[in-house]
Amino acid sequence: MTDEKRLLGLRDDIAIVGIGDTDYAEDYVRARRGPAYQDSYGYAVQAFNRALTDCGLERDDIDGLIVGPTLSTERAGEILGVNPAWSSQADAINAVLQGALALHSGAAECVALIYGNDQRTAGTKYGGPTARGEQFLSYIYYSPWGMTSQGALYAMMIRRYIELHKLRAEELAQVALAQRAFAQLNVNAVMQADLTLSAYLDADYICDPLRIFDYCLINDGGVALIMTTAERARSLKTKPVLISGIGRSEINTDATSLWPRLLDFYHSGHAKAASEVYNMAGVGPTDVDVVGIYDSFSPHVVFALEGFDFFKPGEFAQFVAGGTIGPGGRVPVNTSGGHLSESYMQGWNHQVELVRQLRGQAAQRQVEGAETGQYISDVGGKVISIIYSTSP
Amino acid sequence: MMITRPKPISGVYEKPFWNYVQGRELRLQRCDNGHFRFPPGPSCPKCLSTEYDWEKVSGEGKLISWTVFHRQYFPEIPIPYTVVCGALSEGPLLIANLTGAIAKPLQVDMPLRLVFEGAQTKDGNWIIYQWALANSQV
Repeated sequence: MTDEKRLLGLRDDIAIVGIGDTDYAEDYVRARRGPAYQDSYGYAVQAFNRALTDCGLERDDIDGLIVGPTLSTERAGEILGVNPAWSSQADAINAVLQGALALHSGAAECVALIYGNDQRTAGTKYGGPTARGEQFLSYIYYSPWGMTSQGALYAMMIRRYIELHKLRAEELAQVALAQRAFAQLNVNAVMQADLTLSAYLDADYICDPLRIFDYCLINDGGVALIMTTAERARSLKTKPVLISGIGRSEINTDATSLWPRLLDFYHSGHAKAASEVYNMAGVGPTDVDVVGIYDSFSPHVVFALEGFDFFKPGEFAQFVAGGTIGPGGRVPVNTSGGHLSESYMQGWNHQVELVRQLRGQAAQRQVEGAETGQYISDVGGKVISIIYSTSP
Repeated sequence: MMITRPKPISGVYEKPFWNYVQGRELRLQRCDNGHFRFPPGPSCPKCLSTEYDWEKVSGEGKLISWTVFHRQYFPEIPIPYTVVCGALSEGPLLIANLTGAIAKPLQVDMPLRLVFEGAQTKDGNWIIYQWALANSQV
């Protein structure tokens, strides 16, 4: 069982001090136009250099390295000239957790987390006969019936929610519309064109009830984060963004038969992770100023906010009315535009955005006085949440 | 006319499962403590028992959810097509297409029944199972 007392020792002990991202809007145009000019490592190096410049640390200060799933630690370390004391490979949110654990334990003092993805250039497919995953993943397993892609799984999840709670298309649309409105305040977002409710409703379905605007982009880019101890962070030029709470729960039972998705909406995992993250940070959902949610598809936002007690079960429609999650709203979500409109950096860009918001560097989309930020990810039933803050 | 489909994946644990389906039977592994499991696997997730029989299921179920594909992912399957998730009365959830007449709008918990249908694949003909509304003609 999670020892919440021991975990408390980690509270506010580790900080994100450096952030770097690539020029998503330009990356998108160049990747579509071709020819390829850099690969996943190229994007990652670009972001890494920017993150170093951001915090003022030197390359030789880096003694811990975590790479995203598209990179290897060995090749990344070779390219960056980093021979770390400690290294690992992880997705975005697990990378932040692992970085925090390594720093807290003393295994490293300055950890670089790097991610690069040339998925648009490489023509990566997330559905159909060439999708990755093989047999253990349900959407491949179910191929005789044409069941494929994570998007189709989220379409089934939200269809059941729609039926149970009478959610209307106009109400689900608020996720895509709010994030596009934020993206229009972000010069680095890939999708900045106007998106109206009627354009959303007129758009083609991919997998009914999800339309193209409910799906993330597939684009190239890179992200880097640099983490160190709160103590060392005090000597750096950036305002440290502290990890104040973490919560984690994996739901694997009957996952291939879709039980946790369709009958639980992952809420049993949400409940455990929510209890842990809020207890550790000493806050609740009403204290959160800005939220980041892993949003490869718009339904993620519905299920995550519901599971983390931002509203009562089934009441997304009432909650979202009046622009709650958009610019100027009470619970701003994915303020950079997220995966739907900024860039599909698989959760990495959300960490950069939360740091910017808590530093007060989010330009036109800045949430006034933001001090507490929360990230929630529930990809594949791994429910993980982090609360970031600037005031211990 | 027979439908065309991607070939089902049939690894070491799935082979008996699909062999039964070829005989128009759906059988699931049931461990010696009486727990059904799906998909096929080496042991019972509830009790870790490795002893099991392939037990025939009722074929009765209810509708959990569905989606309609409007994007073509597989060249063999024309769009639009409906994929449904039904809960077998024995417990496990099964994905399949909804086949046969669909007279009314779909609703959660509608009664379903399993039917079998021939499908052409690149490696010859297969029988696959499908869901149908319980009271529909197929």
